[in-house]
Amino acid sequence: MISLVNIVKDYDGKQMGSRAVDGLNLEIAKGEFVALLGPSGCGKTTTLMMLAGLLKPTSGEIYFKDKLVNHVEPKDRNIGMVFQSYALYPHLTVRDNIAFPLRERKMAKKDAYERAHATSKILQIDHLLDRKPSQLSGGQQQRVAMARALSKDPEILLLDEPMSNLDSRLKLDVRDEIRKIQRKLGVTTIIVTHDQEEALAISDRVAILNGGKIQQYAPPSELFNHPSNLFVGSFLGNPPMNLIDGVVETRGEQQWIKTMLFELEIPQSRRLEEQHMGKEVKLGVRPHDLFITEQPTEAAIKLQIDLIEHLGNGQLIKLTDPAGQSDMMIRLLTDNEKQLKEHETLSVGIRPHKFHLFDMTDEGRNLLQFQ
Amino acid sequence: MTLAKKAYKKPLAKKMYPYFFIMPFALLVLVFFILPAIATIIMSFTDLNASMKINFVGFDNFKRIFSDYSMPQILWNTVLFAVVTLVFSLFFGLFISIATQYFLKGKLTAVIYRVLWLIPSIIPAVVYVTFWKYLFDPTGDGLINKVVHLFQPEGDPVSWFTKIAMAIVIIATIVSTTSGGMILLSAAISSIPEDLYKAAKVDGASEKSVITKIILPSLKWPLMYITISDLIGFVSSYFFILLLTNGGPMRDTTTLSLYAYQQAFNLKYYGYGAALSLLVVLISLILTLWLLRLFDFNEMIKPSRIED
Repeated sequence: MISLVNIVKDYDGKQMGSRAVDGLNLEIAKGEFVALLGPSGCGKTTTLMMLAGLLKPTSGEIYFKDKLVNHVEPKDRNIGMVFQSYALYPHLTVRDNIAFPLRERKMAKKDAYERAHATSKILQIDHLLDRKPSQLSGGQQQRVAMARALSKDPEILLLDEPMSNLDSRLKLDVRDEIRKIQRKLGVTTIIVTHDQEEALAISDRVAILNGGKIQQYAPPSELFNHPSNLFVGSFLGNPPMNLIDGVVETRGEQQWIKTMLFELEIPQSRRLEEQHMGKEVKLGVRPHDLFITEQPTEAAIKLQIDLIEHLGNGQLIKLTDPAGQSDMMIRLLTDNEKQLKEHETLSVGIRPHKFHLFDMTDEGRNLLQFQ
Repeated sequence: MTLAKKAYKKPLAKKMYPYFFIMPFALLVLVFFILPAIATIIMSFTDLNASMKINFVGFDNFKRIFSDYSMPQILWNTVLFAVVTLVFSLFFGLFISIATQYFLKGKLTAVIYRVLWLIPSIIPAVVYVTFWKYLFDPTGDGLINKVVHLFQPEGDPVSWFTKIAMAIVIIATIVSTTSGGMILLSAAISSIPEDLYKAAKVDGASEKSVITKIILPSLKWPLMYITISDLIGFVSSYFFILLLTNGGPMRDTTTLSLYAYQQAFNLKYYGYGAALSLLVVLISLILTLWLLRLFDFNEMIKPSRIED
């Protein structure tokens, strides 16, 4: 449906390095819901603007259904767009706002208003049609913006941080609603967001961007469980993944990771290739993949509790080296059942199939092969 | 215990504080604004003239306005001057600000163009008027007469100030007042969020729709302000006319405020001049109230209604 091929976008800046998007490739299937996720300045909004036609790529090609659209004007792309600020026309009523794209296509006033009314019903704002945008709450304005984008029955819906101006409770409702409407209408949708929870919850596939490049493009569960590199691993997840410096070694048949505090055996099923032996790696372990062992074994790691944070549905424990020799800090997520005290010493284990190893040289590539 | 219940009373010195601060300016306002206004009102009921003797004559001065045989022409001149100047300077201000802030937004040419328009309002009025006098000079040395001479070597130099005096006065005023409106309207246009234009592009809006549905509605309040302040200015100011034509030829370019000035300061009929200037104030007041109604001023000061 949509393909971006080797897209590069340079802004006309005086200084060098004003490259916002750097060789981006992306395929989006018809009816798919895709999120562009990344930190600020990663090029996600620029990519969306190029899809909308509001910006022209410096090089590369954008195809909609095999048709090159690089130089097609926004109005001829059959897209609907929701802006972060909603960008409602302040002097038009809600009805005129929703009917605006239709009226600009020379649709008769009566038909346009009928369509506006039908669209507003889908978004449950048909009682607000005679109001001006300034007389609406943030959530209502958001719905009007959605209705305006959908009224012309677009093939592609572009959402630019549509929920970042809503409060957190409302966000959850709107998120579900957008998902439902998207399913119902089957419109190909691309959402730009910096909120990873939102991206993972709403979309079929998520493209994680950093430095103008796609780091990984996969369904949410795969991104979380199989991050392809250090950036994706550390960017996704809250509380963030623990990253521990270490070295991989061979001891007889087994492969081991040696860190300042502990040593960890790599399971047979996840063996590394020989070429990585003796090299420095980063060990990535998510806080919930660490566990507290009641019967300390030889493999258990002894750590001291530095701080306990109560998160409501669990406790986040920050652990440090009991000997005080390294300044490493490890986060562990556990349930509320355990009665823990600060400065207590714990035995901690790592789930053997859940940790990741990132190469320290090759752009932080994930070394472990998953079966 | 009773002490705690007693309400806190500000000491007198503290109460006086704010008034000390506004005192100097309040005195200035009193001496230079309020007293002259009262003096004008009193003067309009006297026959004060060059002899500086004050005799109260009641409403004689106001009756005289109605019997003054040059009054119809003067009122017509005032209306013509104010309305034509207002319409054109508003139109040009609007046109330039839309052109430079929307079509040429952020371009260097737009900035240069707007600075050029500012020049007439920056240079001193006397210098500015001298330029117009040179332009329309009735002798063969005037710029326009020179140009005309190029095309018609046989013709005599045209005496522009007797033929089209009102037009010259109006054009000179338009050129110098356009920039004021232009600045306000440009600022209003540049405060329209960029996202609205982007949304309009995605929605396939034509330039006409962008101007009529996005830009113009957001200019309502600055337009109201410019209309009112310019109109009052045109009704009550006589500076340019005085310097350019001094109301002539005959009374062809004499407006009400210039007439008041001439009666008071040329002919020393202070009483009659004061009555005429009160008429100018009255007209300005009525126009302001009417325009505020026309623009639906209540709408602006009403708070917006937000509910969930």
